[in-house]
Amino acid sequence: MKNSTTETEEIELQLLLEAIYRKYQYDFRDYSPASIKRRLMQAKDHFGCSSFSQLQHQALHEPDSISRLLPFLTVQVSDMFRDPSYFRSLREKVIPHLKTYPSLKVWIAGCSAGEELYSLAILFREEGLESRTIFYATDINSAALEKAEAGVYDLDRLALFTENHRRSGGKSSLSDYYSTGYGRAIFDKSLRQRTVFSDHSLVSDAVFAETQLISCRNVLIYFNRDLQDRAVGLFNESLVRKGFLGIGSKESLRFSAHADDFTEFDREERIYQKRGEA
Amino acid sequence: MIRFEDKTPPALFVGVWLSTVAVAIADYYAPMGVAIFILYMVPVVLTFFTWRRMIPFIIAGVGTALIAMDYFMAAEVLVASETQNIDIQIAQWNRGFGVITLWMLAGIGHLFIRNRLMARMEAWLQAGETKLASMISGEQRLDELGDNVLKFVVEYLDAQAGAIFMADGGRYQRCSVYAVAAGSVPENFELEHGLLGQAAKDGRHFVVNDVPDGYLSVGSSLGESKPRHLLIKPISLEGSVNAVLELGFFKPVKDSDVALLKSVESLIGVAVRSVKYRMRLQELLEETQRQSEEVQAQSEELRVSNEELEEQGRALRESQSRLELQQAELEQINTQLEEQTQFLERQKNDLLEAKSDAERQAREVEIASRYKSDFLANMSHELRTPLNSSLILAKLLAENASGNLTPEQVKYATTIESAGNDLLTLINDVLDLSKIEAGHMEIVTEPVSLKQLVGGLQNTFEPVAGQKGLDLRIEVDPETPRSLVTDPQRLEQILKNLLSNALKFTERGSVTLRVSTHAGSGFAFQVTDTGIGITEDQQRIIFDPFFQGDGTTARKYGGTGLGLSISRNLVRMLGGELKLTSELGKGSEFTVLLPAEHDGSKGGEDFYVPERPIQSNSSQPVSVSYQRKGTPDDREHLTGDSRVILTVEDDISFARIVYDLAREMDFQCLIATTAEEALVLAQQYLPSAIVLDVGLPDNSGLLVLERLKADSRTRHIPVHVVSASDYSKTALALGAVGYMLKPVKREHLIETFRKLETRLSQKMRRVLVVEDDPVQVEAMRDLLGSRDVEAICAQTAAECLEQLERSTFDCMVLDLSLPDASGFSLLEKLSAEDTYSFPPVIVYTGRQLTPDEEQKLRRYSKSIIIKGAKSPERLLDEVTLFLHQVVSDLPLEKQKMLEKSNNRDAALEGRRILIAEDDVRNVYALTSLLEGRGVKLQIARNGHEALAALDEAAKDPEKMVNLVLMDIMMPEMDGLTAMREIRKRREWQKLPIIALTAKAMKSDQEQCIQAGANDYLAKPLDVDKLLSLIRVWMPR
Amino acid sequence: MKTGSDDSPRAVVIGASVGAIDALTSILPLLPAEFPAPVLVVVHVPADRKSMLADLFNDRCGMRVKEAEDKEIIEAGTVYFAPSDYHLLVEPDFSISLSSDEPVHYSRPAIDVLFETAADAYGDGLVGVILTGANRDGANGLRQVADEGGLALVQAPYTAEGQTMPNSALATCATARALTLPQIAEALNQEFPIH
Repeated sequence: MKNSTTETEEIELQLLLEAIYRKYQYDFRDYSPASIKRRLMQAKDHFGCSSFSQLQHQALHEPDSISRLLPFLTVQVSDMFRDPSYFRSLREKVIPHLKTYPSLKVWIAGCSAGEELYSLAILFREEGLESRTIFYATDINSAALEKAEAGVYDLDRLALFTENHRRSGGKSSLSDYYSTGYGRAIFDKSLRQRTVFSDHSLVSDAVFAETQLISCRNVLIYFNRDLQDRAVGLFNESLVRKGFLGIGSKESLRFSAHADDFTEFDREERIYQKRGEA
Repeated sequence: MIRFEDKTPPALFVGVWLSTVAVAIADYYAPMGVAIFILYMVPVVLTFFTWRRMIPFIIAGVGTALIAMDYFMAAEVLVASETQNIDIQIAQWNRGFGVITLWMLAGIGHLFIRNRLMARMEAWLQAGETKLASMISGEQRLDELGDNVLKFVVEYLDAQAGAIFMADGGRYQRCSVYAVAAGSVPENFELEHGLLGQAAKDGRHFVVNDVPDGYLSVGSSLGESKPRHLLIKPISLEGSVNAVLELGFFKPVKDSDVALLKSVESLIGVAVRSVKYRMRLQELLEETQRQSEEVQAQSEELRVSNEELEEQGRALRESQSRLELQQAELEQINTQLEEQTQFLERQKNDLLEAKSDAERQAREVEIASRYKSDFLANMSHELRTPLNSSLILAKLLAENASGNLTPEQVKYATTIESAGNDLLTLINDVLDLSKIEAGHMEIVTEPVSLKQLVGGLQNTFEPVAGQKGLDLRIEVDPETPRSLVTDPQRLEQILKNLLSNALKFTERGSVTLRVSTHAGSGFAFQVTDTGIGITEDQQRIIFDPFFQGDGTTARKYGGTGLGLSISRNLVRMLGGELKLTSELGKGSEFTVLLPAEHDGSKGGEDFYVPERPIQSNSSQPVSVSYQRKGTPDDREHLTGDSRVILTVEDDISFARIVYDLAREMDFQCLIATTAEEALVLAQQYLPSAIVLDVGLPDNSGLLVLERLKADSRTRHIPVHVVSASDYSKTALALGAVGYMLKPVKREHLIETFRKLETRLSQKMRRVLVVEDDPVQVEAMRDLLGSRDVEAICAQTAAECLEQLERSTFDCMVLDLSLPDASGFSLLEKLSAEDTYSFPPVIVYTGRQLTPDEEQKLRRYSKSIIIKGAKSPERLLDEVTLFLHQVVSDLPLEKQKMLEKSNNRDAALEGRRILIAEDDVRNVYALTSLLEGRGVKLQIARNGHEALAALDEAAKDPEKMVNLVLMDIMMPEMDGLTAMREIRKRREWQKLPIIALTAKAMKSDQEQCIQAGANDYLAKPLDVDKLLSLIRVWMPR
Repeated sequence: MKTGSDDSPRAVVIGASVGAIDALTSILPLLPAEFPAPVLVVVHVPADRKSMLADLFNDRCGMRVKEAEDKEIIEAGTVYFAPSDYHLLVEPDFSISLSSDEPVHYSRPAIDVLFETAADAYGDGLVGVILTGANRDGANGLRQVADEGGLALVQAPYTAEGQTMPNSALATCATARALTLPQIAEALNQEFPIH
C-alpha cells in the first residue's frame, strides 16, 4: 500500500509533466516514471520548491524556468568511449562493413554533452572514414547541444577518457585531439566540422536522413515501452538495409515491437543490424 | 580636528581674554618703564591649555599689538610730559624683547598643544586598532570579516556609508556594504576599472570631493542622498592589494581618517589573508574528504569485486570436481552405449536378413500365385472344352430321342447333365477369379439403362422366388438417374450373384433389390434379405475365395464359394465398392456402390504391372492394382517439356481432385497410390514437384520423403506434404517445402500449386561482371555463381557492351577502372543508347569516391560498394536483392505499368459474374469495383432472378456465367435456397459461388457452405479479400 | 511486525557493500524457491566490469537469480541483482528500470536509488535490508522505506565486516531494527510465509 502522500505526489508529477508538455511541447510523459521522478525531486530541491505543484507553478510562470529545468530532465552522464568494448566492436566488426559505402551518415541520437559524438568522430578519423561521413548529433536539450558543440570537458575526466580510448583499440593518443587550459580540455574543432547539431525529439519528431549507423546509448532506458517502440521504429525507418544500430549495454530490442526487423550483430555489445528484406 | 581636542573650558578663554585685557589696561596706566606688558605672557601661557594650536599665536599677536599700541600711546604721553627720566630707547628695547619673548612663548605653546594633540591622535589610532583587532578576532568567514571591518571603519571615522571589496582572482568582489543605496555600488570591479580599480592597481588612496554620479550613495528609509566626499583606500599587504574600502562622508575627509586607515591597513590585510588561507584550507580539507570518500567507495567496489572473484574461484573448483565426476560417469555410459550400439547393429543386420528373406519369400509366393492363376485360367479352359461335349452328349442322352433307354438310364443321363452344369459353373467361377487375379478380365463400358437392367433381373429371379415362396421386391429411388455408364455384363453378374445368394440363404420373408443415388452422383445397389445372416467372424472372411460359410452351409446350400469373391473384385474393377452389413439370423444386406460413369476406356491392360517391384506387404496385389486402375493419369502421354506433378495419394477421390486441379493449372499429373509406386515413379519420371500424402497403405509418406531426399537424382524435387495428422515439423525437417493438413481447402491447394509454379518458373538468373583483374573475376564468379545464378564476365568496356547488346542480364556488377574506358563513361553510354539492355548496376570499386562522383554514379546505380574486407559479403547481398527484386523496387515507369496491368486483372478480364444482391448500394459498389477490372456483370435482385439469369445465360455459350456472388438475405428467395437450387442442377454443380453474408457467426458461414457455396465473405466487404476470393474461385 | 495489506504487491530490497558476498550467502540461500516476493539487491560493484553476482548466487539459491534487465516485469520468487554501472529502479507498475544517472555517494548502482524508488512503488509492502558496508549509501533510502510504512532491517554493526553502513543506517532511520544475519533470514521468511 502506498501512503496518500506518495499518491498525491504521483498526481502532482503527472500534472507537472503535462504542464511542461502543454506549455513547452517537451514531452516527458512517456518516460520511465521512477527516473523522471528522481530527477524532478532534485530539481524541486534545487529550485527550493516544497512540492511538484510549486515547481509546476514556477515552470509555468517564470519565463526562463524551462531552460533551467530541462537539464534536470535530460541530464545524461556519459564518458568518452564509455564501455570500450562497444567501441572496439564498432571498430573491428562494424567499420569494415561501413567501409564499403562511398559516403556515410551516422546518427548519434541523444548526444547530450557530446562525449559519444567525439568518441565516434575520433574512431572514424582513426579508421580513415571521417572524410566521407556526416554525423548527426541530436538531443532535445539545446543547452546540451551547445555543450556538445563546445567540446569542453573538465580536465580530471580526461584520465578516464584516455584509458577508455586505449581500451577501445585506439590507434592514436587521445591527447592528439585536445588542448588544455584553465583546468579544461578543449577538443579539436576539426572533429566536429562534419557534424550537424540539431534539436530533435525521439518522442515527437520524424526521421530526417537515411543513415548507415545509429548510436543511441542509454537513452532508451529512460523511455517506457511504447516510447521505446517509437524510437526504435524511427531508427528502423532511418537505417539503410543492413544498417547498424548500437544501444546501451543494458538495453535490448528483445521486447521491442521491431525486434523482427533487426538481427543481433554483436549480441554482447548490443549492436544490431537491420534485416536485409527489400 | 575636533576628534582629538577636548572642549576648551570657557573659563580658560575668559581667563585668557580677561588677563589680556587686564594687562592691556594695566599697561596703559602704567608709566613707561614699568614693564607691565611682560604680563602678556600670562594669557599666552594660559593658551597652552587650550586645544587649538594657533591660539597661542593669536594671543601672542594680540599681545604684540597691544604692546605696540601701549607703547605709542605711552610715548606720546612721554613726549608731551617731557619727562625725560625715562629712556625711550631702553623702553623700545624692553618692549621688543617682551614681544620676542611673547612670540617664543606662543611658539612653545603651539608646539606644546601640537604635541598634546599628536599624543591624543596616537592614542585614538591605538584605540582604533585595538577595537578593530577585537572586532575581527576569532575564526570569521570572509563576509563576516568584511561586515566587521566596514562597521568599525564607518563608525570610527563617522562615515555615512561604505563598502568593502575583496580580491578574488584578478578582480575585486563586493563583500559587504554599509548603509549603501541599492545599486550604487558595483558587484565587482577589475583592476584599472574606474577609481576603485585604479586605487587597487596603484595601491594608493583617493579622496574625492564633490562626488560625481555613479559612486556610492547613502540609502536610508528617507531615500538616498549623496555623500559629498569619498575616500577610497586599498588595503595592501606585502605589495598586493587584497581588499579595497570605499567610504562616503558628508564632511571633508580628514588626515586622521586616512591615518587611521593606514594604521589598520596591515591588520585588515592580515585578517583577510588568514581568512582566505583558512577558506582554502577548508576547501582542500573538504576536497580531500570527498576524494577519500570516493577512494573509499572505489576501494569498496574493488573489495566486493575481489570477493566476487574469490567466490567464483570457489564455485569453479566445485563445478570442476563435479564435472570430473560427471565425465567419469559419462565415460561409463559411453561404454555401455557402445555395447548397445553393437547389439543393435547385430539386430539390425538380423532384421535386414529377415526382411530380405521375407521379400524373397513374398516374391516366390507372388510368382507361385501367378502361376496358379495362369494355370487355373488355362486349366479351366482346357476343362471346359471336354466338359462342353460331355454336357451336350448327356443332354442328348437324357432326351432319349430313340427311346431305347430305360427310365433309369435317362435319370442317369439327367444326373450327368446336372452335375456337369454344376461343374461348368464351378469352372466358370474359377476362370473368372483367375482371370481377375491374372489381370485378364476385360471391362467394356457402355451406357446401361437402369430400367432394362432391373427388369432383366426381375425376370430371372421372380420364378425362383416364387418357387421358394419368397417375396422379391425391386425398388428404384425416383431421384436416381436413368442410366449409368459401366460394364453391363459384369454389373449383371454381380447383382445376379448377390440375388441368387440372397434367395439361396433365405427360407422365408423377402429379398429386396433397391437402387438409389449415393454420394452425389454415384449409384447404390442394395440387396437385402431376411435370411440366415452372417456372423461377424465370417463377415471378415466371406469375400475370400473358396469360402463357403461353414461346412454345413455348403452342404445345405451348395455353391462354389467363389461368387462373393468374384463379385467384390468385379465391383472394384468397375470403380466401386462392395459392402456388407449383416446380423446372424436376421438377414444380410450387400451394397454395391458404383460411380455414375466408369472410365473403363483402358480396359484391363495396365491392370497388372509386371515390372512393379514386389512389395514386402504384397497380400493385396489385386486391390493395389485395382486402385491404379481406378485413377488413370498422364503417364501415357507425357509431353517432354511440360511440367509434371506426382501426386502420391491412396484416397482416390482426393487424388482425382489434385489431378483435376493440376490439369487446370497446366501441369501434367501422375498418380501413385503407394509408397513404393511413388518412389518408382519419382525415379522414373523425375517430376517437377510432388504432392505427398503421409498415410499410405504400405508405408509412411515420410519414409518416401526421406528416400527422395536421400537420392541425389530426386533430391531437388520440391515436395509438398499433405496429411490428416500434423507431422509438419518432421516433414519440414526432412526437406518438404510445405505442409497442408487435411481436410485441404481448394484455395490452399491452388496456393500450393502457385508456389510450386513460381519455384519452377524461376529461371536461371544472369549477372554480368565487368572487371579487368582476372583474379578478381574468378573470385566474383565463385562468389556469385550458384545453381540458379550464372555469372558472366566482361573484362573491358567493349566486351561489356557486346554482352549487353547480345543478351539481357538481371544485374550487372561494374568495376570503375577498366582498361579501355572509365566506368563513368560506360554508364553514360549505356543510359544514352537504346541498343543496350541496361540492367540494374552495382558499382564495385576499389577507390574512394568524391561526393561529386558519387552523385554522378547514383544516377545510374542504386548501390555503390567500396572494396574491402566486408565488400564480398555486401556484394553478394546486393546482387541477391536485385535478383529477387520485388515490385516496389522497380523503376517508376515499370511500376506504373505493373499497376495498370494489375488493375486490368487478367484473371477477371472478360469474365462473367452474376451478382445476386438486393442492396442497391452494394450492387453499385460491386459494379464499379468489378467493371473496373474488366468483368462483365449480370445483376439479380433475389434468388429467383438469379436462377432465371443462370438459365438464360446457359442458352448462349458466350454469355455463360463463370462465377456467382450470392447475397444471403434477399427477398422472395434467399441465397441459401438459391444455392441449393443451383446445386441440384447437374450442369451447375461446379459453378463457383461465393456467399456474401452479413453475419459473422461461424454457424452462419457453415450454413452457406452446406447450401453449396464454395466460399463466403463477411460484410462489410473487404475489397481486397473479395477480389482475391474471386481470383481463387474463378475457373481458368 | 508490520505487514502490508494482503493483496498489494510486496518486495524485499537489500543493499550491501564490503563483505556483501558473505553476508548475502547467509541470507539468500535460506529463502525457499517459492518465496512469495521478489528480492532486489544492490551491491556496490565496480563500473568497468560485468557483475558476476547473479551467476554466483544462481547455483546456490532456491530462488531464481538473475541480473535485472530494463523494463522487465518484477516477479515473485526471483532475486534481481543490479548490473554494474547502472542504477536499479522500481517503476510504479512494478517493472524494473535501469538508469545512467550520476552516481550517488560515488556509487552506481546506489542503494539509496533502489530503496527510494521501491519505497514509492511498494509503500508499506516493502522490507528494506541494509547489510555490511563502509559508506553511508542506503541510510536515506532505508529511512524512506520506513517513512512509507515498510519494514527496516539492518545487520547488527558488530557482526558486519563494514560497520559504517549499518551504523549510519541505524543513525538515520530510528525505527530500523538491528539483527544478525541468521535473524534477518528468519525475519524475511516469517514476513513472507509460503501459502
